[in-house]
Amino acid sequence: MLNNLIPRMQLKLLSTLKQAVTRPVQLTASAGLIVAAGLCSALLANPVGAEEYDPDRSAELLACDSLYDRGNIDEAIDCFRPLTRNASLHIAAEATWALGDTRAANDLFRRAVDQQPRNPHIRARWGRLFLSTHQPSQAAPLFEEALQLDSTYLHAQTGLVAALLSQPGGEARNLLVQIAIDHPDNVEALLMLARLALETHDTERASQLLDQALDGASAQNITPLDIYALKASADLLVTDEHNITSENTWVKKALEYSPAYGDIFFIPAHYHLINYRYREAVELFKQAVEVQPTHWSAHSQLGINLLRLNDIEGAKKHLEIAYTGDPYDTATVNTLKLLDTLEEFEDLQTTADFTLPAIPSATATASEESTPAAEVKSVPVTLRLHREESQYLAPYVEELTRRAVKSFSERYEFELKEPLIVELFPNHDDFAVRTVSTPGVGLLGVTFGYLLAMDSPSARAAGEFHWGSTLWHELAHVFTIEKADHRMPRWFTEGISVYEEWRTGPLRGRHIPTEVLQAIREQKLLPVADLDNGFVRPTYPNQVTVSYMQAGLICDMISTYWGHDKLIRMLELYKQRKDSRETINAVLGISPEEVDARLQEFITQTLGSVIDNYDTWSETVSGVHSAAQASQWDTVMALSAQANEIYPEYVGRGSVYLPLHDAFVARGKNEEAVDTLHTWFKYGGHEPDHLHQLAHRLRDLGRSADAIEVLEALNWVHPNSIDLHEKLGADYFQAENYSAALREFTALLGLDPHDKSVVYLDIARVHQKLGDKKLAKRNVLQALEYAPFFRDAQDLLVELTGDSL
Amino acid sequence: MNNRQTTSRNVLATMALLAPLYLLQAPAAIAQTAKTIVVSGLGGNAAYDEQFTEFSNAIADHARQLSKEESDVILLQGEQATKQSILEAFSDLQQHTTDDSIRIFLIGHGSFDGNEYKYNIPGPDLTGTELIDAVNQLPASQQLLVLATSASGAVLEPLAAAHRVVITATKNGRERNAVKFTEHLVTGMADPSADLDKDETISAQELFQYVERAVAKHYEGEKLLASEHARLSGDNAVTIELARYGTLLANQAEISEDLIAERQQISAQISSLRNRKADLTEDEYFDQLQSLMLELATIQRAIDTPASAPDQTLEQTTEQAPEQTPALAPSPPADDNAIPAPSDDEVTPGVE
Repeated sequence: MLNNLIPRMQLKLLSTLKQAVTRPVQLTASAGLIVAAGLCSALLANPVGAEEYDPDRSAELLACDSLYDRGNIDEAIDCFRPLTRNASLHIAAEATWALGDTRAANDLFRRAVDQQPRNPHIRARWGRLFLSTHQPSQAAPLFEEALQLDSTYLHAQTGLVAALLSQPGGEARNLLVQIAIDHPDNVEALLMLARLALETHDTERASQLLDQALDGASAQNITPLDIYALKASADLLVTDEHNITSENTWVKKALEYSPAYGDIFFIPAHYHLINYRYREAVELFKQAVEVQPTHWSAHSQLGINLLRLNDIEGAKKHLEIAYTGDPYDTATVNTLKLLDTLEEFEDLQTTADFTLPAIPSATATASEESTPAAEVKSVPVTLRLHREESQYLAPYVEELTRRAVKSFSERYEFELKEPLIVELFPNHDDFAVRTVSTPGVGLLGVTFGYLLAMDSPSARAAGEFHWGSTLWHELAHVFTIEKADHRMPRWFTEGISVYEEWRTGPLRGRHIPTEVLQAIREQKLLPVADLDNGFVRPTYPNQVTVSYMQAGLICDMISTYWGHDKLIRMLELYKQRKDSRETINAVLGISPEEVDARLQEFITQTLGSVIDNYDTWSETVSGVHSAAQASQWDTVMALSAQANEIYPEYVGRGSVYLPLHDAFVARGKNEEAVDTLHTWFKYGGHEPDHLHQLAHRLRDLGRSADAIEVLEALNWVHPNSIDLHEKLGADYFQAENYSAALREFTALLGLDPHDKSVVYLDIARVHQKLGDKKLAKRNVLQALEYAPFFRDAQDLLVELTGDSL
Repeated sequence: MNNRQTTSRNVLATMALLAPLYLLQAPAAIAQTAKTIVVSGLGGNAAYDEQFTEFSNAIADHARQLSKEESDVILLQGEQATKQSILEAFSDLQQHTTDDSIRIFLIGHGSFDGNEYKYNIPGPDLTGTELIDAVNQLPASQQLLVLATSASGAVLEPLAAAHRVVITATKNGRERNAVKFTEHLVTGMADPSADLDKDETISAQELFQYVERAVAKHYEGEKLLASEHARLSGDNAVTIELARYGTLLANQAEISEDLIAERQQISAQISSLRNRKADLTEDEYFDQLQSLMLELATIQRAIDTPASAPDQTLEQTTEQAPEQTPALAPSPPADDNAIPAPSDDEVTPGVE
C-alpha cells in the first residue's frame, strides 16, 4: 500500500496497546534512534512497504496479502504466521514484518541477503523495510546495491525514488520521470508522479495519471486502494467543501474494498498539511484512527497536529498511543520529548488591540457622519516563553505582537477570530521538532494558523538573525493564512510576509542576500506559476532563499504598481479557491506570464544598478576586504566609495561599511568613522558588536537621541545583553521616557544581573516619576531586601514614606 | 585575657548576631581580624612576575586594613616564596587556637599532571599533597584558602572541610592556562559593586560571585572559549570579610558601639521577617519590612555621620550623596573596638 508505514498485523495488539497507554511513556536519552531519520512528513504519502508493487512476491505471501487487503485480518494473521518459519528466509522476513516484528524481520532479511548475496529482490525488499521504519537514509544504499546487481530492477528503482523523495534535491524527481518514460504502465511510478502533481495543485495532471494507474492496476491485478486515496486527495484539493467525508466516492469505494483502510483519510490529510490546513488535517487523521485504530502514523500525525492547534492534552494522548505501537517513528518520539520540554515554558497572557478600517454603510451619503466610528477591539494573546528567558523577552515579544496585530488588522482588513499563541524556543532543535518533528532544519519560524513558533534570540549566536523581523514575518502569515482560509499558494503568503518585513517590520528596507542577486543575474528566477516549486522542491542550493526574495519582490511590485489593496483582493480570491492564474487575471488584469515580465521591469527599476554591475561590485567588495586585511586604508576608502556608488544599501555579510569604518578609525577620522557606522545602521546593518560600539560613540559625541535609536534597534537583534538594558534604561530615564525605561529595567532583571538591588532601585525611581508611589515603595523595598544597607535605596524609601531621619 | 582571644570572641559574637540576617547575604562584620598568608609564586617571565607581585601586594594591603597587627599578615614574594618558608608560615599558624580565623592566598601558576597538583615557586614546587597536609594541621575554626592559579581545581575536593572555604580559579586540574581570575579578584576587593548587600564590606562569597561573573564576561567579550571556571566549596563564605570601604572604614574609630548593636538587632529582625515571608500576605510582609528598613535607615544615617560632624538634614544628605556607593577609602589603622556580646534574648528578636 502506498502508505503502509506500519506493520500491518497489529490489530491483534490493540488490547495490549490499551493497557500500555495507561502507563506514562518514559522517554530517555537511550531512545536515541530518534534523530536518524529525515523529514517524516515527507514520507506521509510516499510508498514504503509497497508489497503490492513487488513483481517477485511469492504466491504464498500474495495469498495472505489478499486477505489483509480485503480486511480479513484474522485470516490474514493465520495465513502469515506459518510463513514466519518458511525455509526461504526472505519469505519468513516478509511474514514477520507483516506481523509487526520489524526487528526480527530485519535479522531475517540480513540472513537472507547473506544466503543469496546476488539477489536484487531481497535487497530491495529489505530497503522497503527500512522505509517502513522511517529510515530512508538506511534504505537508499540497499536499493543502490540491488541496482548494482541489476540496474534494470524496477522495484529497486522505485524504492530508491521513494527514499530520495524524502530528502531535498531534484535527483529523485528526474529518476522518477525516467522510470515513467521507460515503464509507462508502472503503477507505483504513476502514483508517485500523481502525488507530486497534487503537491503543486496540478489536479488535472494528477487525475490523468491516476486514471492511467487505475487501468494499470486493473490489468495487473494490483489492489487499487492507494489510487483511491490519491483520487480522494485530488477531490480534496478541488472541492468547495472544507473537507472530504465518508460520502466521497473514492472513500466509499476504498472502505467497501477494505473497511479498515485508514490511509483513505491519512493520505489526503497530507495535502491539507502542506497547505497549512491543520484543522482539516486533524479531522481526517481522526477518521483514519477511527477506521484503523492501529494506524500508528495517523495517531502520531494526529498528535503532532493537535499540538499545532494548541491542544496539548489531545496531542499527548495520541502520541503516546503512536509510541506504544511504533516506537521507531522519530516524529512521535521527538514530539513526545518536546512535550516534556514544554513543561519548562510558561504562558503569559495579554491582549492586542486593533481597529479595522471603517467601512461606510451601503446607504451612507458622502458625509463624514455616515462612516461608522471605528471600534477598537482586542484579541487575547498567549506568549509561551521558556521560564529562563521569559522575563527579559516578554516585553519585546508583547510589544511587537501588539504592533503587528494593529498594523496587519488594518492593512489586511482582517479580524483575528481566535486567540493568538506565540512560542519562542531557546533551543533550536526544540523549535525544529515543533515545526517538522525532527531536529536539524534551518528554519527560523513557522506559523500554524493562530499559533506561531520560532527560534528565540538565544537559540542562535548573537546577530545571526534579526529575531524581530522573523516574528514580524510569522505574524504577517497569521493574517494572510487566516484571511485566505489557508487556501493561497505558498509563494503568496511568503511573499507578503517578506514584503511586510521590508515595508512595515522592525528592520525596514529590502535586504537581499548576494546569492539572490547572483540568481537574478543568472536568470534563475522561476515563473510565478511555478514559484511554489522553489519552496517545496528546490533544485539548486539557496533556491528556497531565492524564492522567498522573489515572492517578496512580486508582492512589493504588485503593491507599487497596482496598490496594496490588490494584495488584499488576491487573498480574498484565493479564499474562493481561485488558482493563481485566475486570481492574477482577475485582480491585476494580466496573465502570470505578464507578471513575470513586469517583475523583470521592477527588478531593473529597484535593483538594476547592482544586477547590471554585479561582477564589478562583487570584485570591488572583495578588494575592500583584501585591502582592509593588509591595512591599506586609502585603498579601502577608495574602493568602498566605488562599491557604494553601485549598491549603497548593501549591509549584509561582507558589507563595505565595516572595513570603511575601520579605515576611518585607523586614519584618526573619528567623526567619519561614526558617520559610516551610522549610515550602515540606517540601511539596516544590525551586527550587535558594531551597534554597541556605535551607540557608545554616539553617546560620547553627545548624540544621545541617535544612541537611543541604535540601542533600541539592538533589542530586536540581541536582547539578551545586560549592558544593553542598563544603558538604554539609563538613557530613557535621562530622556524622561519613563515607560521605556521601565521596560528596559524590567528586562534587565530577567537577565539575572550581578546586583539586583541597583535595578530594583532604578525601577522604583521610574515608578516614582510615573507617579505610582505604591509600586515605587514596593520596588525600593525589594532593593533593600537584597541590600539592606543600600544608602540610596534607604534615602528613596525615606523620601517616599515622607519619613524624616 | 590576651588581645587575640578578646578579638576572636568578639568576632564570633558579632557573627552570631548577624547570622540570621545573612542566610542569603554577606555580614557586615566589625573588627573581624585574621591571620593572612599571601604568597606570590613564580611568574616564569618578567611580566607575570611583576603582575603576581602587584596582585599579592594589593591582597596583603586589604588584609592589613582588617588586621590588628602588622604581623597578622605574612607576604611571601620572589625568592622568599620557597616551599620551606611557606610551610614554616603554615607551621606558625598551628600555634593558634580554634578561635582563630586564617586566610591563605596562593597567587601564580599551578600545574596538574593527572595525579598531583603543583604550585610553581622558586626551588621545588609545593605539591597538592603537601599543601593539604599542612592546611589540615591548622586548628583555626574559620579558614579561607584562595588558590589563584591555573589547574587549582585539582585540589578543590581534597581541601574541602566543614570549617573551611576553598576558592579555586579553575574547576579542575585540566584547566591549565594562566588565569584571569586573580586580576578580577584584586579588582573586586576594591570595587564597591562587589558589595551586594551594601554593608561596606566585601565578603568571600560576594567576591567569589564578582570574580566568577567578571571572568565569564572577559571570555565572552574576547569571544574566547572560557578556559577557567572558578569554584567555591564550603558553607561559610558569607561570614568571611575580605575588604572594607566607605564610612565603615573611614569612621571605624568613631562609630558608637551602641549604634552597631542597634543595627545588628534591626538586621536580625529583618532576617527573621524574611524567614517568615511565606506565612504573610505580600502587603503584610512589605508593610513590616518598610518599618524595619526605615529604622535601619535611621541607624545607618547615625553611623554614617561621625559624632564630630554637624547634623545634616535629609535634603542636604541626598544632594551630597554620590550617585553610586563611594569608592574604596584609604584605611586608618584599626583599633581594638571590641563589641560586647549580646544576650541570648537579643539574638533572636521577633517582629510583632
